[in-house]
Amino acid sequence: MTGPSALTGTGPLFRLALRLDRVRIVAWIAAVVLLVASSYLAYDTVFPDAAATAELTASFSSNTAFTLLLGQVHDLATPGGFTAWRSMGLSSIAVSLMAIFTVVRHTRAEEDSGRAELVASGVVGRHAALAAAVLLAVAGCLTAAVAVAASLIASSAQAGAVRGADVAGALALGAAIGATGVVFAGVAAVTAQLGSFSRTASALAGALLGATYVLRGWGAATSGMEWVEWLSPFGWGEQVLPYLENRWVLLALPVAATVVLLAVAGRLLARRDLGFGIVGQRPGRATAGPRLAGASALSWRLSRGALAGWLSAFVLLGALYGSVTSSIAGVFKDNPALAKILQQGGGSTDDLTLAFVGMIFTILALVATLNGVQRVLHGRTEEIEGRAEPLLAASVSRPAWLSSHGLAGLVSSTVVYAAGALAFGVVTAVTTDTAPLSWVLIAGLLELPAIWVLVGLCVALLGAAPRFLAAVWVVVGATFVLTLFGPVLGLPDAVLDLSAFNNVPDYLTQGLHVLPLGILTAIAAALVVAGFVGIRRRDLDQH
Amino acid sequence: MDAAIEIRGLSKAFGSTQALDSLDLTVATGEVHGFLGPNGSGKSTTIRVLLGLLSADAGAVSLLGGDPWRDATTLHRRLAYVPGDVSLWPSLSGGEVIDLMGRLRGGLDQRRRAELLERFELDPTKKGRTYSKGNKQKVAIVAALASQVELLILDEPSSGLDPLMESVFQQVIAEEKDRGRTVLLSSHILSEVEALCDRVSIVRAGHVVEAGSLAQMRHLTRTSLTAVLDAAPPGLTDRADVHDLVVTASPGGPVTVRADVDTVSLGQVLTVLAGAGLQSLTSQPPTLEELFLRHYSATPRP
Repeated sequence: MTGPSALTGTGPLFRLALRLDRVRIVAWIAAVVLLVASSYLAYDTVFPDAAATAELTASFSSNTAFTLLLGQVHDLATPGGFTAWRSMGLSSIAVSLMAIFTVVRHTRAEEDSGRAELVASGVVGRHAALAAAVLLAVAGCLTAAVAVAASLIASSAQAGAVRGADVAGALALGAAIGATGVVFAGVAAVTAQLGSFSRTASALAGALLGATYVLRGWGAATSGMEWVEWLSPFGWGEQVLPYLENRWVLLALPVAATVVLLAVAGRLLARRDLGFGIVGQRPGRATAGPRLAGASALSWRLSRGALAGWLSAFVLLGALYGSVTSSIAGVFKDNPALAKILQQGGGSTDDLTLAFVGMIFTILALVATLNGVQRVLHGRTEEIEGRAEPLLAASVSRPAWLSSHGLAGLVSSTVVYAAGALAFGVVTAVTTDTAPLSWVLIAGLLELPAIWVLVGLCVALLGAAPRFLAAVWVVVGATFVLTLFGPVLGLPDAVLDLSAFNNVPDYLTQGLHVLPLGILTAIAAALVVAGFVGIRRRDLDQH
Repeated sequence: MDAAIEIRGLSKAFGSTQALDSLDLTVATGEVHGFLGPNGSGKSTTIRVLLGLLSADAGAVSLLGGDPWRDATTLHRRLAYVPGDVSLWPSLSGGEVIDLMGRLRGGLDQRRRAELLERFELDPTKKGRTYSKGNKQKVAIVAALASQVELLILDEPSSGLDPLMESVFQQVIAEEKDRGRTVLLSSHILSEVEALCDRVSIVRAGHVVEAGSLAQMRHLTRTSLTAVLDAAPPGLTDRADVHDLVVTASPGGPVTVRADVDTVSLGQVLTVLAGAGLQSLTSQPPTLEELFLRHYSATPRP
């Protein structure tokens, strides 16, 4: 089917999708606006005068971990420049994730549940569902762009009169963030046509998002590799240089990429059957392997593919970041002025390297937490979709069931983090000699209790109060922001301590403090116990 | 232990909805017990309480002599459950699911497994996601029936099966009964209930409104009679146990009497009819349909 009839029904489907998702999308946009506006408004606190600005610019420019995460420092002399550098990365990720989830939810996930079948039997064109989903995602991204711009203009009005440059910069930043999201709507449109389940589609698109983000950071941090940034949508957004140069023409790149991706998605869609991916199904075994004999074995079997993906990604990530460590000392060879400012502040390249190592471990630990959280949340999905019932109606005890998802999440996140930390530590120790390998590895290990606290929270909720599990993402998001941005925004210690990761002692620069680690571990243990107590008491939920 | 399942006064509420309202149920060992009722009457909720998935607000529940909430894990090794809405793991094959469930119950009879796969014409190598609804149910049925347990709890197990598979299912359950297994069968398929069940409990709005053997229940309904008589029989209209009486008299000829008679007083009514000169008689035994429909529709609680 080609032509207008393929898109019949897009309007009603779009309205339906909008109705189902409006709260979710507004929440995402609100979070992004909060992130961006708070960076802008915090500028005067962080950079009170010219001297502080010079010092901090030197410090941030030479902080390779920040470069990996946020891209190169271009201009910190204005609130707009600082905001663009500080918040564009994370905001673009948030908007892109929103786009991915929106597209997958209204295409692949609907097919998985069978609702798409019901809809497709009506007067609906073949491409209508995909078109409606993409339209919604794009609309969400555009709304985010406008909201970000509006909030920045309002923030600059607070500081004084609004100048034309402020408006142009705000619009450019909003557009850059929104455009990146639109690209990933296109990516998700394609991945939704591959693979057999909606989880595969989300995972693939998410992996591409992670990979292109890491690529951008690595390109920015490795001298001679800056051209690599142009391979990543996040690089395109950064190169627009909002507030600094506002290169609007570069927005043609994400637009063009999206058009190409949507065309590919359309072609793939035309060739596949509803409910199936392009990649075909292989037949399974007639009998079960000998180890498939319990809830934990089942849980392992269902997650082994995803775990393999996470492990390889983390090893790669760790090694990649490790390769950057050796270039930190080189930052000052290129920039003697920077070196002078830093030395005046009492720093040295060794200090910088150790600080970098500490930050990377924190970043790895934060991302590994996502793996653990996802694993435990998967248990809730199993329960809601009725696959916990047959196990509990057979001889699987409730604690055994909780453990197959909860403890599995703890183990999985620990193993994934350890793999990445090991890769990072080994590459770092081999390429630099600032700290011996054993010290580096110990520093890495110390992040584990913080991971356990967050994953332990999920276990507690799954066991005792599963209706609140969705709120865990708010806690995770807040933890990310508090850990990565909190210290710079000058938030009070009491607030910063709400993030478990901010309580992990910096072993390499400050030595070992056992007490905070003990407290974190105790909190994690208490949460896990609460989960196991709760699971014995509550009713099993269905659908 | 004489009763496999013994429930007294079970109540359960979800928020403001009273799902179960003082429900009583007894299933004797070795019997096939039918559990019937309209949609939303509390059958699945009762089964979930029996399986320890939900806790009871009030009442006493005994499953195979034990407490289903506290001793769930040990008791579950002695029973097999087929849910009403089968949800399989999309990436596991049917054979893997059957083996997994069997291992959780302490073992499968391999010969019976192979035999059942053949009789139900089920391909065990297909992945869970690719099975049709009926085939998903077959996976759950084979997993339950191939295990070596004493009690089977089946929640609408054959609702998606085609007529041929339905008859296979009935044969198989009859075989289980011969082996001495106890079966609690919740079903809407009345022919199946008639063929398999020794005793039946009818649930409405969370309460059992009728329980007993089918023979007993038939006794409580009406037989429809069509009789051709020499003359109009006296006193039929006054009888409380004769309903919807239609007397048609052709001039100078026989009288046709049609009525629904309470089965209990069938004998007495026939005597009255015979006294008026019986020429021909057609009697329709009470259908299960009528029996259940009478209970399914709004009848006030005693």
